[in-house]
Amino acid sequence: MSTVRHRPEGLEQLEVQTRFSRKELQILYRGFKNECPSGVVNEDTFKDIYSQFFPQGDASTYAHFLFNAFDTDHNGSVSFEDFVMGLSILLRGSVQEKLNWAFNLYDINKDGYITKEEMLDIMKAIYDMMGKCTYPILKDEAPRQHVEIFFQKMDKNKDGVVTIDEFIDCCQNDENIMRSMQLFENVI
Amino acid sequence: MAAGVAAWLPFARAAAIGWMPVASAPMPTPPRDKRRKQDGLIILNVSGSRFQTWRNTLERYPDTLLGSTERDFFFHEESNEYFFDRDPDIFRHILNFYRTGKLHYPRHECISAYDEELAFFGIIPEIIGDCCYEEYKDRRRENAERIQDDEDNENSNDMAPPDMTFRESMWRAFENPHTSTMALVFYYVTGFFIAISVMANVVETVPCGISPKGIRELSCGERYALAFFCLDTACVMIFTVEYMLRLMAAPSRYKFVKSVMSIIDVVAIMPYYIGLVMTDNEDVSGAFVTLRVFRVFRIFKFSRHSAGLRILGYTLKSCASELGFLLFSLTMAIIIFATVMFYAEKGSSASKFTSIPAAFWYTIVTMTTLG
Repeated sequence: MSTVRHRPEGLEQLEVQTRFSRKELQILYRGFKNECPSGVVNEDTFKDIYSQFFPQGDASTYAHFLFNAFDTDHNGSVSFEDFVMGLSILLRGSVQEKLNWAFNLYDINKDGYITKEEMLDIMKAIYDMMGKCTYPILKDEAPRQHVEIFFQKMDKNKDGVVTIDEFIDCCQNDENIMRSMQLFENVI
Repeated sequence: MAAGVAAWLPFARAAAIGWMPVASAPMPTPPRDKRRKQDGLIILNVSGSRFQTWRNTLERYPDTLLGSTERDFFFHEESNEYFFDRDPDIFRHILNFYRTGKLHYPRHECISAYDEELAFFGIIPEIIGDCCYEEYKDRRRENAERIQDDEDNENSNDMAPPDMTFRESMWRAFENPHTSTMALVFYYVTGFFIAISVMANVVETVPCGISPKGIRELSCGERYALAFFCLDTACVMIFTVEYMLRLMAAPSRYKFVKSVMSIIDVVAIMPYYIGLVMTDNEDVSGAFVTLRVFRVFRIFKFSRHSAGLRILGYTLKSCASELGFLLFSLTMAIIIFATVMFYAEKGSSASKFTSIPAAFWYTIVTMTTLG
């Protein structure tokens, strides 16, 4: 049990900083506080909560990457502000902001470039999370093949890494991805 | 999915952004939530105590009374609340289950009252949290046993159903001596003969004066051998007749033969018959003498006459596993220490421990502090 107690900034400030209404913030905070009474989420609790949504596979690696993406100040714990800011971008942000956030998720070492190794790690994490219940059954080299397809699509100048501009450019030109982005509007 | 985690669903859906750019096909739309209306407070009036909670809290468990539309049957229009005519103290725990996802069992509550409330509100007891589950199971088992005992007592004290066969009425007479005078007489007669038999076994060994030939002190058994033999025969005949009658009257002969009391009966009368068969064979007379020890088991026949003795028997049976473990660990310790002693004194030629079993006696006597 952590004895760290963290109280978030006031409701008005969060209302200004995020794009959620007052009521929505109240509901989000109540759910957050219920699961994490101390006010901050550490990585283990994060992984726990996330694996309850994906019981059929091993979601811990993906949850680890997600945690690093939410933890913007890299202090090892996600406070309510971090959580709600991240959600605000993902659910209410512009397409540009969402793609930016996704790039940040993929770029594990936050150096501005996605290398093939980073992409492979992410891909494996996603495949692990889906578990063995996919249809058709995926083979073991499927992650690697998927990474190759991704890089062929995204890496315009074929230098082996994907920069943020290449990523955003390519996604905006891809119809499937654009359509998927629209789905986030009605989540809360 | 645990109740509180449902609030994190938007987060889980948002996290899907991770695989969206790498997916090769467009994502399917998420299901639309039916409950688009605002979350509201619900007032639950339980026999005057008002509890309030969010509607969403109750709907976390839609297969219970409070979480489903079943609660509409209890809606009270005049006061715009849900009224339940139940125990408010126990209801507190039930409502806490919705709030925290864990059901607790309060120790001071009666187990049947608690079970009834759970059944009313449609909550299965198996979800009681680990902290309270053992207590709950123990109390439930005790209660079930108590009810079972009460039923048994009631059954045996009932008036006899009018059309019982002779066999059934005999069995009833054997099991419950207070049902008729014949049964009571039989009960006391057998008790008397058990006592006589045990006392005879004891008195047999008392020294009774010098024999007429005047060489050594005789025990009463040797002096009045014929009298004791006749007494023994009479007792064994009574016991045999009793055993045969019980065997005949038993509703399930197989179960009767397996029961402990009947085994004690058999063990009590067998030495006599075996003795009849092999009286003059000198080789086995030693074994015969040992067999007479079993006559002392007649004293256990008193269990039928004494409820206290039966309770002692049940107690021993119920902690048989613990006693068995005690015996086992003692044996282990004895073997270990006997081995150690044997090898420690092996070098010395004056050692009394000629082998490990020879060291057992020393170890046992020392460990039990007899010396």
